[in-house]
Amino acid sequence: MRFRNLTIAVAIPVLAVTALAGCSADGTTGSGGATGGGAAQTLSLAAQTDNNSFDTAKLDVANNIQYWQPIYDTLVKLTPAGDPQPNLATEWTYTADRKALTLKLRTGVTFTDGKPFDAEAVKANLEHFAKGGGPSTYMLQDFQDAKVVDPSTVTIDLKQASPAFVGYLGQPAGAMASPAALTSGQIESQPIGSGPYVLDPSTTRGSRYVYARNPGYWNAKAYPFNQVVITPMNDNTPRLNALKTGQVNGAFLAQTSAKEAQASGLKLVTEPVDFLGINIADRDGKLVPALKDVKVRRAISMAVDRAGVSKALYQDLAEPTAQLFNKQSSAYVPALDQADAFDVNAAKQLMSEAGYAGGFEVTMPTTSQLPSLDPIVDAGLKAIGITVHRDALPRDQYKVATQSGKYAMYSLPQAVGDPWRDIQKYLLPKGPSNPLHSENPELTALVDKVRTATSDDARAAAYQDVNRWVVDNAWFAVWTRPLTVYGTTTDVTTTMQFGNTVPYLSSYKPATAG
Amino acid sequence: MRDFILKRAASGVALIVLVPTVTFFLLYRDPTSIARNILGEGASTEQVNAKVAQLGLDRPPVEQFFSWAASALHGNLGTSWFTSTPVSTSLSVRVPVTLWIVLLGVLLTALVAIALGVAAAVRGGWMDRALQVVSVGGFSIPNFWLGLMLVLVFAINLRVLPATGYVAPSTSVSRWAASLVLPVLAIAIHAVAAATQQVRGATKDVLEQDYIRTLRARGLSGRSIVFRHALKNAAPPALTVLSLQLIGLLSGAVVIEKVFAIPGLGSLTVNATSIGDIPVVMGVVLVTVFIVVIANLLIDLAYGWVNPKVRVQ
Repeated sequence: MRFRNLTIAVAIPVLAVTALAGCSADGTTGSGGATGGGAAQTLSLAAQTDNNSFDTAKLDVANNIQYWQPIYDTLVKLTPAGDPQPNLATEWTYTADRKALTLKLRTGVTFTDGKPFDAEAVKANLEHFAKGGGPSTYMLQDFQDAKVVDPSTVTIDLKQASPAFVGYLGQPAGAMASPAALTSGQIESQPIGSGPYVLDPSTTRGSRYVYARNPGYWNAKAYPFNQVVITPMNDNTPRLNALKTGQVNGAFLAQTSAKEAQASGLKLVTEPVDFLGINIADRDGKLVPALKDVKVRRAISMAVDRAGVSKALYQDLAEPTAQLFNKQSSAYVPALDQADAFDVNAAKQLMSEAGYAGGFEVTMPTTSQLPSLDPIVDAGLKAIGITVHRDALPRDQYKVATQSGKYAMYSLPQAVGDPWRDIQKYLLPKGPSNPLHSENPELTALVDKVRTATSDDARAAAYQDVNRWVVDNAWFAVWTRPLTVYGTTTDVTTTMQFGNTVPYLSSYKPATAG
Repeated sequence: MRDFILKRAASGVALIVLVPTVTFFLLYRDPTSIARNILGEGASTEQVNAKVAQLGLDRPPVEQFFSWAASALHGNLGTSWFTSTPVSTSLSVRVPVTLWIVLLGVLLTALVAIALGVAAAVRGGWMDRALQVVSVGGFSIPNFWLGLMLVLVFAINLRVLPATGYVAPSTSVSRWAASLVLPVLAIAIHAVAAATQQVRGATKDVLEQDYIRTLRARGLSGRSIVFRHALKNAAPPALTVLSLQLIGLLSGAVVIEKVFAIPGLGSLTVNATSIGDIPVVMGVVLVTVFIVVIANLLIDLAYGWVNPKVRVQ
């Protein structure tokens, strides 16, 4: 009996599909990249997260920045090192007390709906952002109001001096949408900006974001690609595979796949964006009295082998450190990388001097973002007498739970960048990562020096004093500074952005470009 | 037959009501933490309270559930708390993607299982033994691992198929087909292994029946005996396995969509669950239950068509 016929009947459609697939080789190879000379066609990027919103009040940094930068130009443009450059604002000056900032605006710029970019548009955008309640609202927490001086001049009044304010105007706070879009109720589905690209109707939210060139953009030369396509890919494996096959030109990669990426011929750029350690939130001893003593906190800092953590968790794509602040920031102090060196005996000595030779117990949540960290922490603290009990927390509840003040200590794999932003977040009494609202008059005085410094050098010196104080008083037990890894295909070049997980859109260029 | 269908439909409706109800109350949590998750760490207490009120989270959980259920009955599944995209819009984009993978997986499973199972039952000998070993292998191989290996061979090394993504058939039929080959192969491996064994066993049992011997004695050809008589009687157990495998394929789609970065129902579920986007999770649960109920009803109908005894019972 001819079962061959049946087998052939099954094989034919399989082979037919495979043949069809072979005919569609354009779908399997790179869809972007430079063609050499003239404008390149498509820049294709894989994003670790999906876009959260096109409403300018809800824009975010990190991975989300690549979704909105094509559409919305910002008041200032940040260089890869984080320095503000003229963009939609051509110049800016502070008053002597730094509580008012006057911006001169670029003329002749229009939004893609034909509305003019002017001082009224800036005012509308800042007010919309300040009351929007989005993840980046903190950028305008010192914003008081904006006054239209003339169509191309606006003065922003601040409640108090904010050292990072101009930098924020190169991030979500400075993203300019058409005022008509702000009030249309449609901004989520129809974002209107004045940026280098517009959201193409072929976009499918959650699946594929397509941006076509804005023909009226005033600085087209800065963006050599005619089209940008961003595809959300949550997992590292498909992102790496998409890079290897040329389906995308750039993607954020896990440190563990860096070697494989390089072996596949991909290019890598790195940036020290994160720090890893413990937030010893209960510095006043409200939940765990032992943590009030700086000797106990320093003992915690010395209990874990920084070099071992760097190697074990990040395959040496991390630098041991004891300081919170970003290595590229003006707050960085090289010597603090060696502070509180790993020394179990010395840590036990400190515990003994503090009166806790017998140790104590503390409850910490499981670190859902990095579960491999917890056994290392638990073992290290156990060695100096501290017993850690773990609360199992779902990943989506980690941030809210740790910022609620429920835990005396919790692990922090977190990003750091602009030092003023990090002071706001980690050190000020109302900072979201200061959940028990710790305050210290010495630190307050040092932070005020940063706020009121009138020169970059004075501000840098003040930042470094804050940094030294934080390390000396062990408000955090920081162990390592992982390097963020970004991979590209060989036909594209990019530069990482200070304090951000992924490069800014303006950094991508065809490799053949000069 | 009518009573048969009505009974199945009634149990399906009961499931469609029960599963989302249980899910809703399992997902329910403190409204303030939900609002904080949505707004971010910089939100003030006033903003958090306003968001809680805006989302209706200040109402009792039972009231929230009935409000959701009433809206769902009118086709309104709400909007994502994080992206403000209507849940029905997200589902309308994602459901077809997953359904294509699952349906093609079922089709592939049926074709391959029939071919291999019948061949093993009829030929016996080394072919039967070889296929049994292959089936065990198919059970043992995790589908995500197979997916990764298929990507390595066909996408990265041979460059004949895409490593990631999905192309809608309206965009390009050939690219649509190409984007589904590897995911469907990966997802179907367990189903093929299970269904092949079932078809082989059922066919073997039927071929040993007295009436088959009678048909052979009457001079009917082997093909006629197998395809017109034996397979029809061997089909019901295979259909049962297929219906179970369909549910397995739906859940397997979650993993496969992650491996291939396919924007389907599975990846939507994982993403929404990980960030606590409850309206989206509820929408996904409702649609998934609906799909499973409808699919099982269709398979039951096929079962009844193939085996008239079932209709009578």
